[in-house]
Amino acid sequence: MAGHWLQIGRPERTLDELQGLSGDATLDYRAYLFRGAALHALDRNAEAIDVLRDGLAHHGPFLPMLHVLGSSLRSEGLLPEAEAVFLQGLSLDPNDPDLLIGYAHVCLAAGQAQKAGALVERAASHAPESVAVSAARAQVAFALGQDRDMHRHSSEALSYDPENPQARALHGTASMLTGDARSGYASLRSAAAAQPGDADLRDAARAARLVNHPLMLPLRPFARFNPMVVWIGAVAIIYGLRIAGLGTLSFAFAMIWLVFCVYSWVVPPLVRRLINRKWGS
Amino acid sequence: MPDDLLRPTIGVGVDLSVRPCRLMSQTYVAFFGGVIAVTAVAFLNARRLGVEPVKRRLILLAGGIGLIAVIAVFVLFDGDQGITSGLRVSTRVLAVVCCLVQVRLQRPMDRAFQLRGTDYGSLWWPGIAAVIGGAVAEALILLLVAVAL
Repeated sequence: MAGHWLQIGRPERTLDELQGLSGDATLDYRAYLFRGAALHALDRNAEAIDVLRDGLAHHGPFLPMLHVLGSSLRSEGLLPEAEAVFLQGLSLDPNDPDLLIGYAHVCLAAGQAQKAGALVERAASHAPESVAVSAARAQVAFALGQDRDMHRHSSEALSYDPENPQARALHGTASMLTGDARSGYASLRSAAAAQPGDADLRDAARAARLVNHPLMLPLRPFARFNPMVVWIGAVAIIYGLRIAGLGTLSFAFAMIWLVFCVYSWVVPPLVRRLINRKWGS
Repeated sequence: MPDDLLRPTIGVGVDLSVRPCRLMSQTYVAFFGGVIAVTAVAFLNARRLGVEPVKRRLILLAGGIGLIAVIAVFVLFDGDQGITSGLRVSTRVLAVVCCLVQVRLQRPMDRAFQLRGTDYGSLWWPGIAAVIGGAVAEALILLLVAVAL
């Protein structure tokens, strides 16, 4: 039952369920594993690490437990310790796809995107194509700054499991990065709705909603490119026209640009306020 | 069979309490504060992100080249009419271009930071301090150049 709650994304119910155990059942390897995984899912990683280390001391190296312990250590920023745990697991089974992907996430957190990519490809060669592999590929592409590849892999992940919140969040982020704000908002909104506790996702969905507002349409170039690059472009046009002897045209463009700048300062805060009022803060 | 992929490569962990700032915010420091301000902010931020020392030195180098370019533009524009709008605009463009290079050097580690899922820090007060400090330092340097010429 505890495993079921965990599977459907209700880790707090898992902990409640495990609280009711007594006697030898509390020392069962599954009790340690589910408690550790639930604590990790709730972002209580320090507690998860204690529970899982305890479990490993009782039951010896057990791959799923090593996997959750490694992930918890990574979430705590203890990257060398996380690496050691994943390598311990991989020394027992060098081709375990979950451990390979888990280790790839540690490498991503350490900024070693190339190695992470190689690990994910090794996982892919041992596991049939899955949400986990496609999602990990999308994350590697994000780390490498290859936003179009990220979009492709996250769409792939969604095609395996359209309901998967992580795949939706990745697809939403990739869509926003590649300039498709409409589907980006749709994905981020559904991901945020599936994980109501995730404040970052909620903020991302709200930011995507802001970009999609009709009043924000003229400001799309700012969302798509670095605003300062747009600004340099405008300055180049103004001075280019002036140097070309087209003083009036240059002045007219400069005035339009000024109005555009004022618009870009005034409108976003107003739209944000409007959206926040609608959503409740 | 030795397996290169399964060899430890991670030397240090990350301190989750360290809060770098958004890369995009740095361009505003470049625009308002100039080359010196943005180089200071980019260098400190790169350290927070855990960017390797070689790239951090490249950030300083980009700032150095930017400053030389600003001085060169100042010397070129330095006519009788004093500081022209052309000079003001071109030093800003140079600072923003310099910043874009520095942002590029920080990007891989910024993406790694985003994947770790912790929050960014605010650049408001450090940014304003850098803008004021950087602008004053740049003005002093240009003043010295003007006196020397």
